[in-house]
Amino acid sequence: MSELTQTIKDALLTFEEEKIEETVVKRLQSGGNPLEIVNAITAALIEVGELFQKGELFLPHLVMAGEAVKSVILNRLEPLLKATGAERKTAGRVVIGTVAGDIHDIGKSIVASMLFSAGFDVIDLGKDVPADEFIKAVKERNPNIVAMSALLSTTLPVQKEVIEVLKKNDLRDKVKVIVGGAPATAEWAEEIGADSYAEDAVEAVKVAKRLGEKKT
Amino acid sequence: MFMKMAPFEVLSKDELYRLHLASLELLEHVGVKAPSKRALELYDSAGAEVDFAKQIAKIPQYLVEECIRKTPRKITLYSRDKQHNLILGEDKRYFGTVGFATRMVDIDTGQYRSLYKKDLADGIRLADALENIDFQLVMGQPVDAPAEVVDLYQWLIAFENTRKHIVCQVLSKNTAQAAIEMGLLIAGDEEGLRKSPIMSFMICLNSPMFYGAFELEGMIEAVRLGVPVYVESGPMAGANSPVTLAGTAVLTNAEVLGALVLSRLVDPRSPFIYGSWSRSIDMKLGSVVLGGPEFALLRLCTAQLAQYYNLPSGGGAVLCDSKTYDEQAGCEKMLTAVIPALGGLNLLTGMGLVASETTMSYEQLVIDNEIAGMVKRVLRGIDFRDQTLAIDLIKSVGTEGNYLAKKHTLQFAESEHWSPKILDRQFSDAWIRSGSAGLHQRAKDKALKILGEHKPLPLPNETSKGLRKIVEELEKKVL
Repeated sequence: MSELTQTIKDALLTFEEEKIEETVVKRLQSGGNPLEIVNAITAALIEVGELFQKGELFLPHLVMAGEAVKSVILNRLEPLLKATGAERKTAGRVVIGTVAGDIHDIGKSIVASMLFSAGFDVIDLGKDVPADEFIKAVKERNPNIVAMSALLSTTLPVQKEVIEVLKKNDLRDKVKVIVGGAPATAEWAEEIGADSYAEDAVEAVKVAKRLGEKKT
Repeated sequence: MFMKMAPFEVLSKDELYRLHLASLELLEHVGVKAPSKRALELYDSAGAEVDFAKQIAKIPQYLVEECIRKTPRKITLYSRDKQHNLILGEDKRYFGTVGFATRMVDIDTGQYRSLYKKDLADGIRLADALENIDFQLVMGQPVDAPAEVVDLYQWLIAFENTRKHIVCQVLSKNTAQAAIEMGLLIAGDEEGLRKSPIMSFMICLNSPMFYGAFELEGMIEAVRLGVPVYVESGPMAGANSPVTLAGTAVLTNAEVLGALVLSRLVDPRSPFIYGSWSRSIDMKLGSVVLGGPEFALLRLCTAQLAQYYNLPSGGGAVLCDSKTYDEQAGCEKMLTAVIPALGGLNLLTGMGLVASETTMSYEQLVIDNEIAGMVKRVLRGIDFRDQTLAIDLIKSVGTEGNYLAKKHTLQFAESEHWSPKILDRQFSDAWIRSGSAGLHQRAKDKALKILGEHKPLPLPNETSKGLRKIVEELEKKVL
C-alpha cells in the first residue's frame, strides 16, 4: 500500500473528512499526479469496503467514507483529470435507480454507496424513475450496468418494462441488468430477462463485479 | 376481554410532553410532503402553509392539537359474525397477523418458495380458526395475482376466508375504490358500511416526512365513508430516521400526526388508528431488524404516545428476523410479543411471518397463536379477591395435606392457569417414548389438521359473485 493510500485510509477510518481534502490539496500543490492520487484514494476506499464486508465496520462508516471520497474526487480531482484528458480507473459504470411509481429508495442508496466504495462509477437517478430516464442515462452515460430497485409488488413490473424498452432501443446488449428490492427474486430476474438478481448490497457488489468482468 | 394489568411505561410524562412539542415543531417548520392536489387543498383550506409547487404542507400547532382532540378515543372494529368485534382504545390488546409476504416456507418441504393465491387463502383460513388471532391484517401479496390489482385480490381472498375483522393495504386509487365497493356490497349500503365496517385500510407513510400519492388518496376515500384507517409510519433508525430511538420516535410521531390532520379534515369523526412500525437496520449488514429489543422499545413509545393522545393504537409485534420457525424465532417472537403487549398497544400485528416480514409460514402462525395465548394470560394479571386469596381454604387445609382434591382447585384451575395447545409439558420419558418430537412437528400437525377441517363462514352466494365481479371488472379496465 502506498503511503498516500495509507494516509487516506486512516483518515477514512477515523471519520476525518477534512484530512482527506487537506492531504489531496497538499499533494496537488507539491506537484502530485492527479491520476495517481485518484487511484490511491480508490484503493483506500476499496480497503474500507472490504473491512465492512468482513463485518469490522458499521454501515454508516462505509457510507460516510464513500461520501467523503466522492466529494474530493468530483470537486478536486475530476476537473484536473478532464483537463489532461486522463481517465480514472473504475470497476465499471453503473446507472442505478428505484423504478417509476416507487418512492422507497433507502435500499437503493445503500447499494449505490457500496458500489461506489467498491470502485464503480455510480450514476444515481434517484427514486420514481420512469423507463425513459433509464434509457436516456444509458444513451448519454454509456454504463456497463443498469441496476433497478422496487419495494412494492405493484412497481416490480416496471423493472420488466425498462428491460423491454432497452430492447426496443437496441440497448439491451450494451448493458448488464441487475434487479433487486423486497419482492424481487432470482426467478423474477430470470423471467424478465435480467442478467442477475441481488438480495442485498454486498451481493449487489459481488454481482456487479462478476458482470463487469464478463464484459471485458 | 377485561385486561387488568396497567400498561408498562418507558417514557416519563415530561418526556412524552417533550416528544409532543418536538413533533409539533417538525410539522410546523419542516412540514410534510403530500403529492396529492386534493390533500394539499385540504391542508391549505385548514390554515396550513402550503407550497403547491413543492407539494409541502407546513402544519400549525393549533391545527394538529385541534385535530387530535376531535379524533374518536374508542372505536369498534367489526367482524362478519359479530362475535369477533374489537373495541379499540385505552389499553385494550388484540393480536393479529401482518402483511407483505411474497414468499412462504412450504409446509411439505420446509423450503422457501413464492406465495400464491391458494397459500394466502389457506393462511387466512388457518388464522380464522386459531383462537388467539383476533383480527386479520392480510399476510401476503400473492405473486400469481396481477400486480396492478394484487391488493384487490388480497381483499377478496380475505373476505372469502375469514369472519374476523380485515385490515389490508391499498396500492392505487382504482383498487382503493374497488375495495370500498366490496365493503359496500357486503354491508348493503353506505350507511351499513359506516355503521359497522368489517374492513380497515392500512395506510403506510414514508420517512422522513413524506407521503405517497395513492396512500393519501386511499386514506381520503376510506375516511370519507367511515372506514377505519390504520395509519402507520415505519422508518428504519439510522437509515431514514435518526439512529437514536428518541429521534426515531419523534419523527414517526410527527409523520403520523401529519396524516391524522389530513384525515380529520375529511371527517373528524371517522375512526383512526395511530400506528407505527418504526424499526432499525442492522449496522453491519444494512438489513431491516424487527425482532430486536429496540423494536420492542419503540413499540412502547408508540403505545405511550397513543395513550397520551387518547387514540386507538397499533403496531408491529410477534415478529422475528429468523428465516424460519426455529430457536431464534422463539426468542424474537416472544420478546416482541410480550413487551409491546405490556405497553398497551391495542393492535399487535405480526403473527404468521418469518424473515422480518417477507415470508409466511403456517407452522409459525400456529406457534404465534400459542405465544399470544401465553401473553394474553400474562395481561390478565393476578385475579385478586377474597375467593382467590383463599384464606379460609388455607386455614381449613392447615399444615401438611394438599389442595388437589379441593373444589376450589377445580373451580379456578381453568381460569387461573393457561393450558398449552402445542407446547410440551410431558414427563421426559413420556416425551422420549412419544418420539421426541420438537415444537415444529406439533405446529405442523396442528396446521395440517385445521387446514383439512376448517371451513370459513361462507358469504351469501350473491355477495361472493359480486365481489369476484368487482375484481374482474377492474382487471378488464386496468390490464
